[in-house]
Amino acid sequence: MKMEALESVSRIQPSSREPAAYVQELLSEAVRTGILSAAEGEAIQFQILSLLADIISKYTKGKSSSVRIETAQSLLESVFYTIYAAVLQYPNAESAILGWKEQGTEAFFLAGQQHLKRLLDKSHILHQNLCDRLFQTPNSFYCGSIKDGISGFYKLYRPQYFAQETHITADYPVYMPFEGPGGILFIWRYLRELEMENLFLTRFPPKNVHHILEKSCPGYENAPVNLFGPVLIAALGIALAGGEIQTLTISGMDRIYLEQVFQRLNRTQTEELLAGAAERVSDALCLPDRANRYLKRAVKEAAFTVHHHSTHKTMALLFPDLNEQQHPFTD
Amino acid sequence: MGSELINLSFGALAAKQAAEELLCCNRISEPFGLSLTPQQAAALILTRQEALQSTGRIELGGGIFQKLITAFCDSPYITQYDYEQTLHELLELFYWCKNETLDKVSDDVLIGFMKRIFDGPARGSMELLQDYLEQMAKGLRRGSTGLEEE
Repeated sequence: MKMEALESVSRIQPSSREPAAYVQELLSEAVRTGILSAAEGEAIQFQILSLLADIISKYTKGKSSSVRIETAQSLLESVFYTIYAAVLQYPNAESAILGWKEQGTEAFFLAGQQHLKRLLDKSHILHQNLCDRLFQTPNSFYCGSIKDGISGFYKLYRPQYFAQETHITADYPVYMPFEGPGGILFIWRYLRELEMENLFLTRFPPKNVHHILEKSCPGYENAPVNLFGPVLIAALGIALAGGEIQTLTISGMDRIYLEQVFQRLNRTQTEELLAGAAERVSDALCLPDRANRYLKRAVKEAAFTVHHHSTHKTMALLFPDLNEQQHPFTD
Repeated sequence: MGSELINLSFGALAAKQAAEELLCCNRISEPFGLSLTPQQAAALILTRQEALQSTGRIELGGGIFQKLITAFCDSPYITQYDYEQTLHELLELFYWCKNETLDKVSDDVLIGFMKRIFDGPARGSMELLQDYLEQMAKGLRRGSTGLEEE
């Protein structure tokens, strides 16, 4: 097998497209580059069709030989999604193709199903833990999406037939929006990100978080806005101003100092400064490694926001003075 | 992707398999004086394809010909003269009715119902059979489960 062919296949990145499109492109690229012969490629196509026929038969409980095209299409997308999950178990695309060829489509599909089932089980546990430790906030979307929305997903999800379907809208936005496949792969990632954001939020007094959020987004209680971002930025600001991070309290003097610091920096410099502050925040809050890694990723997004507000002289929205007003929040 | 599915399911191989299945059904229908020629079988496969496409459905594998022929071959209202034409019409009605009943009725139950109406009140009339099926489908869509219980 030519090295060139392997490189061509491995350039197809799973995260860049929908599972069905990805798997089909992977197959055609494998045939084009000679990793699979044309006959092997055709055989795999027939195996997929045969698998689909079995699934349709199970779906209709053997009572109907035909289904609507939309149903067949969804079932086929689910087959591709499950195969995609199997591909993800391999270190790269070419070894996945070779594994697929060796095992045959049915076994490969079953491996994908097992992976999805494991993920479903793990996400159940993660969801339960998250619900048990959910940050107390008046924001209706936070609790609504995490508790009720995801519970709804578990009730509706049928990985054996429609593994690609998410069913819920997940209205609460995580700080760093992501694209990619739906279904349990989406829910798993969504939960992992929420876990980190929730962990961070629970390190602060809810009433002070409320004050920060009220300033950054008035009426946030009934808006689908992210809670983590403004709190992270405030904490980073406090770290830079030398304040006590856990209290999430910023004085008027702190804000003036931060305005002066940031107005001299471009975006890259802002990011570098915030990255240093993130380490101090992490130490002060005793965050675990996973949360540290999340914080590091989030700093890039935070730097964009800080630089934007610095440029537009609206830093008061990011670093509100806790003593400026009475807050209605009750513990 | 839907059109790719159709192409795959109606590929040459699938059509050949269906034709063989259909000709095998002559063993079931011959005792009743009914049989199909290879040309008639090919025409029926084309009708199935068109009926599926026009109703927005897909069928992987087969079996529906055998079910229809087994159910209808002993009908007193079918002769060798109109056997092929009757099968064409029954196929079209069958897929149409699957959609109209929102897939709530299994193949076997629907074919059984069609046969009872065809031999009974419809007396071999396709128009009457269609009227009955329309009424039944309306009832089902309104929530009646009378057909499933029959």
